[in-house]
Amino acid sequence: MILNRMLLIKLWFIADAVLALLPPLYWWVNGQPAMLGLPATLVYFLLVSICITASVVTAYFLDSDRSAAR
Amino acid sequence: MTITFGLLIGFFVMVVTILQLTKRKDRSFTDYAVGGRSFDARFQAMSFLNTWYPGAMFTAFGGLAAASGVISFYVLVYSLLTVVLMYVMAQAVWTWGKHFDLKTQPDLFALRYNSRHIRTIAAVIGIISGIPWLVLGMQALGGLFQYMSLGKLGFTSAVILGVAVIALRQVWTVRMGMRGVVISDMAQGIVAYIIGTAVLIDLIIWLVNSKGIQLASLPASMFTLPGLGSKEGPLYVFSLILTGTVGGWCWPYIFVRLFTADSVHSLKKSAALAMPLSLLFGVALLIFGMLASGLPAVADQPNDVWFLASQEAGGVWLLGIAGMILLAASMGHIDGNIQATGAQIANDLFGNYRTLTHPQLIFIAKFGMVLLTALSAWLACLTLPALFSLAVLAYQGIIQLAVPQFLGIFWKKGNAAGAIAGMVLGFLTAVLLEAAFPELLGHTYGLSSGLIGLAVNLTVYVALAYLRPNSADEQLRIDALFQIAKKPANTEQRFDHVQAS
Repeated sequence: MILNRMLLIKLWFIADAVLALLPPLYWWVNGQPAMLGLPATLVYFLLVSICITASVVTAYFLDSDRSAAR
Repeated sequence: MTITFGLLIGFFVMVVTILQLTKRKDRSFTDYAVGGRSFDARFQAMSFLNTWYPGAMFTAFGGLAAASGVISFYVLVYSLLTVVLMYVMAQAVWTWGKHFDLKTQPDLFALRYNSRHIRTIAAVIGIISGIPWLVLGMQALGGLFQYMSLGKLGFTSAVILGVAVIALRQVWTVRMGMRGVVISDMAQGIVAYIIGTAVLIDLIIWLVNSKGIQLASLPASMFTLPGLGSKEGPLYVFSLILTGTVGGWCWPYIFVRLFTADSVHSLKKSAALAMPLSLLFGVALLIFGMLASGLPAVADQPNDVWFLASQEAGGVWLLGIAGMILLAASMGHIDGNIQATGAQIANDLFGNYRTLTHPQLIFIAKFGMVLLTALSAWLACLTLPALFSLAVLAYQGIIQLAVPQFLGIFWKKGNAAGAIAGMVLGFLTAVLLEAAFPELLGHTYGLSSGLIGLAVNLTVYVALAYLRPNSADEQLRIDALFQIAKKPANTEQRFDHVQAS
């Protein structure tokens, strides 16, 4: 179960990189109408930033759980 | 002027008092260079932030947000993504650091590639690349002191005053080494990023409520990113974020943070503590910059957005607090740079080819820091028109350390020949492209010279890994290194033979 969680974190880290770096993604966002009342490009950067932050915080808590389980 | 300078002096005295009260004698060069690997997650988190975000965040990046809008968010994205890299490499780097008493980034290169010369090359690239940024940091204080004098000081006098203050501050950096840097980072970080974020949020509320400026009232061009058909090129944003992400850990003063923690757990916890704070600070700063672009004064001088908005919103008191926040951020960055460079001069240049005692290493590091402070202070007082271009070039150069650094940590096949040849060719490619094609971006779909150099670097590194594979003995040594990184606690005896020459 713990192993699966760590695999999930690895996939999440990869998703962070893809979301932040994949050019077609921000090309597409560029032409989108406002989301949640905010410009689409701003929403894109905010969501990517929150996603990256959440991944590291979650990884730390899962790592701590794993250490405690040993 | 009494209020603004009084706040700056009060803050400066507070930091120096904290340093004086926590001063203790260094028992070894490891104590001096990496603080005895003794810092917990809270100190690590604040030390990372205070070194990572320079004072220029409030001026250059606040100004970018005011002038160009949402594209400025690239700085936040790469600042967060680079912590993911830290998280992934923390186990290996910290464990090797503890096991082999590594004190600098080039130490890790020498260990991984079993080569003395790579230590010198990495140190030279790191030291040379850092100097333009150090000089720029000192010059930026000129703008700060000019505003704090309420326009009474001319720019040249303000730069000289700024340089004098930051040079004076280095007395404690030289005396206390890394311990002083990390302890002062905590105080400076609280002011720069916790109080700083609170002030930014207050300013956002003021801009919205009192000035009636909202995101919706800003021009649509503020929310457009360079895409297909843009003059910067469609890969421009990708290039900015990738360069910042991989480049971050190539700076010696950032990398050395991996050696100052008391455990891998503290390093990982520091990432979990620093990221939400970094997210809040970055979002607040960039949203503030964009909203403040609606102020008439900011439109003419976007880089002064931090001072202009603070003064308009809260008079000289808030201006003084804004100055204190910027000084706190600048001191953290400059101290970290000078301390890491001094340690490299002693450990990786002088100490690389002859055996020096701990007191000798500490003396050379201190002497190097004094010389570096004097050189940077002198350069900061000169008019150097090419300085900013040199600083940009330095970034394209420093990221060439990324290939041997990251592949060295995660891939067992790389060797010294590939690492050295890749770094040198990548560095030359970046420099030649910058020199020969100043308008490069428009012809490379937005890719920077550094990324093109990085591609050359990577190709050479991987090609030589297969064309000139490691000897059987060397491969065994590397395999053992990777084993140590996985099982640090049980391997002290078994792997003593893997220490690099």
